[in-house]
Amino acid sequence: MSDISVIVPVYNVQDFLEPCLDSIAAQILKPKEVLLVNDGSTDDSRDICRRYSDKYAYMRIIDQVNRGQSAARNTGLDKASGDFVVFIDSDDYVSENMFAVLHDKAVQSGADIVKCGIRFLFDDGSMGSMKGIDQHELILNNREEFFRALLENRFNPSICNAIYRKELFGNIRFDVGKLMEDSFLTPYLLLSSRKIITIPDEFYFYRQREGSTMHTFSDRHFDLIEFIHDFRELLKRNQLYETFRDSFYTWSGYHFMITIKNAARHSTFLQYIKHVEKFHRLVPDTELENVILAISKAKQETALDKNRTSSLSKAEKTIQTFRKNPNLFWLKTKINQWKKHKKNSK
Amino acid sequence: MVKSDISVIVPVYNVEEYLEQCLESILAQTLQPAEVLLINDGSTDASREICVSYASEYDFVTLIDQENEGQASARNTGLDRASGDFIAFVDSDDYISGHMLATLHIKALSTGADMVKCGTWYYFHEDRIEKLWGIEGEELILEDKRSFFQALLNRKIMHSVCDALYRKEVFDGLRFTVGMFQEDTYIAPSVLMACEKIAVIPDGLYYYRQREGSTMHLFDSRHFDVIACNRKMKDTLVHQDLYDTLQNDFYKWYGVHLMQLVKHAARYSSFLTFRKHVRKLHDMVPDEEMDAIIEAGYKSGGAGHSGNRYNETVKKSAKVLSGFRKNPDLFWLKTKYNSWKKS
Repeated sequence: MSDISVIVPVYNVQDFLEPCLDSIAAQILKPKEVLLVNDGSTDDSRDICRRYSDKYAYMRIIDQVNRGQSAARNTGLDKASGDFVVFIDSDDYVSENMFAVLHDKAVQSGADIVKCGIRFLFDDGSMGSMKGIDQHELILNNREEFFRALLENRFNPSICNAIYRKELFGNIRFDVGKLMEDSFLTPYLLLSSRKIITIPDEFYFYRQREGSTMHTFSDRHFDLIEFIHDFRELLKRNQLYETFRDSFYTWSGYHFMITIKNAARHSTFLQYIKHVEKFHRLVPDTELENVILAISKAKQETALDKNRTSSLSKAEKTIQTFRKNPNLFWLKTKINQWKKHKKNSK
Repeated sequence: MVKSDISVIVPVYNVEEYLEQCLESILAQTLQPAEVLLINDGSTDASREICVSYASEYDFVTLIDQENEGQASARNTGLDRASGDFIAFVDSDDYISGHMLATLHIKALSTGADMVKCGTWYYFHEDRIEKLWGIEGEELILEDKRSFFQALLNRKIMHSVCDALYRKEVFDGLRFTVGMFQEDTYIAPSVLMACEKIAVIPDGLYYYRQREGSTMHLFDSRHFDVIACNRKMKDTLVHQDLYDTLQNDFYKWYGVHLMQLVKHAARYSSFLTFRKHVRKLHDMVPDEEMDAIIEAGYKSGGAGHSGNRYNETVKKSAKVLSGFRKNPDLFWLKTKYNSWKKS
C-alpha cells in the first residue's frame, strides 16, 4: 500500500466505469484509497461503484447531489488523506504502471508534480497523441521553467495525467461550473510547486466521446477566453508577464484558433454570427494582431523544428483567415468538415 | 464427447478465409467447451455470416456483436460474458490441436495451476509449419513469482495469451488495455501477478498463422508500444523486489524485442521514415539503457549455453542492436538489401 489518494468523479458513466476501476485495481503500486465521488448519477454507476467498494477495501463511495465534475473533484480533495493525489475521470482508464512510475519519480526526485503523456481514444477505435509534446523527460526547477514549458505546449496541461503532492492544493480548488475546468487549474498549481517532472510515457487513456462537451459549442466555451485573461493577470501578478509576453500570445493564439474553429464546426451560420460577435467583444482586434505578430516571430525562432513551425503556420493561417472574413471562414470550415466526413465514410 | 466448464473466447474481425478452420478445430475438441463466445468486432466481410451459421447450429456457440474496437476490446467483451470456470482464447485466424483443451484442462485440475501453458507452432501453410518456442523441453510447475518471471523472461513460457488455459479468477479485475498495440505483451506481467501456480507442458497445441498483409507486415508508430510493454515489465519487477535478481534476464528479453522492432522498422520503412523512427527510439530508450541491453545480450551467449535457441537469439539481438547503434543508416541499407535478397 502506498500514500496515494485517487479521486474519481463519477457521473452517469455505466458503460465506461468498469474498465476505469479495473485499471485502478490492477495497479502495480496499490493506492491507499480510491474515492469514488458519485455526483448524483441516475444510471447504474452507483451500483457498479458499490460492487467495487465491496470487493476492494481501499475503494470508498462518497455520495453527493449532482454539482458537476469540479465540485466532485473538490469533494475528493477535501476527503483525501494520502500525501499524493491522482485524479482519474471515470470514463477514462490508465496503464497499470502509472501510479508506480509517477510515485517513484516524485519520491526519488522530491518533485511536487510528475506528469505523463495522454493517449487519446476515438470512438472509431483509432488512437492519437497530443502533437508537439516533448519526447524527453523534462526536469523543471523554477517558475520560469514551469511556465515556459506550459506556454510552449511541452506537456499536456490536463489535470488527470499526473501525480501531485497533496499539500500543493492548500486552498486551491476547482472552479465549479467552468468548462474545460481541469487545465484552468494547472497555472495555479505551477505557482505553488518547487519542482516538476514530465515524462513522455502515455499512461493515461482519454476517451474522446462524440456528444461530449468537446464536440459541441455553446456560450460556455467562451470560458476559455476568460481563462486566458485570468492567466495573463496571474503572470502579471507574479512578474512573469514581461518574460513570457510573446510565448503567451502564441499560446493564446492556439486557443483562439481552437475556439473559432469549434464555433464554426458546431454551429449553424446564424449561431456562428452571434458567437463571432461575442468573440470580438472578448478579444479586441489589437490582441489578434499581437497574436499574429508573436506567432510569426516564433516561427523564425523555431525555424529548425519542423513540427513546431508547421503547427505555428497553421494557427497563423487560421487566425488570419478568420480575421479577414469571419463569414468566409465559417464556409471554409464547413466545406473542409464535409470533405473530411466524405473521405472517412468511404 | 464430454462437456466441460471451459469458456472459449474468439475475437472475430474480417477473417472469412480462416474462420471455419478455426471454429472446426474448436468444435472437434476431445473435451467440448461449455461455451464458445464469438465476438464479432464489426467485421465487414463474410465473417459474421459464418459466425451466425455456427451459432445457429451449435447451442453452446454464442455470437456477440460489437462495433469495431479492436482485438483487446473484443477479448474484454468475451471476458465480461464468460461463465465457465476456465477461460481459453483462440484467435480467429489460428487453430488448435484437437486435444488442446483436454490436455490443458486435466493438467490444471491435477496440479491446481491457475494457468497452464503449452507450445505453439508457426503455421505458414500446409507444407510449412515451424516450431516456435516451448515445444521441446520439459514439463514445469512454477510456484512463486520469481520463477514465473524468470520463465517468461527466458522464454520458457511465451507472453502470448492464446497458448494457455486460465482459471477465471486470473481475470478477476484484470482486462486487456484497449489502445495498447501489443496487448498480449502488455498484459503478461499482470497475468503472472494474478497466478499462484503455473504449469507448463511442452506439447505444441496451438497453431499461430503467419499471414502476409497482417499488421505484422507494416510498420508504424504503434509498434513502439512494445517499449511501453517492456517498461511495464520492469516496473512490475521493481515493485516485486525482483528487479535486482532478474535484471539481466529482463535486459535480454527487452533486447530481443528491440531487435525485432528495429529490424521491422527498417524492413517496412522508407529511408526518411526510418530516420524518424530512429530519432523516436533514441528518445524512448536512453543510450545507457541500450548499452546495458547490448552488454547483457553478448554475455548471455557464453560457453555452456550453446545449443540453446533462445540464447542464440539473445546473442544475435546484441549483435543487431550494436550494429544499429553504430550506424542506423547503414543498418537500414543492410536490412533492405537482405530482405531483397531473400525475396
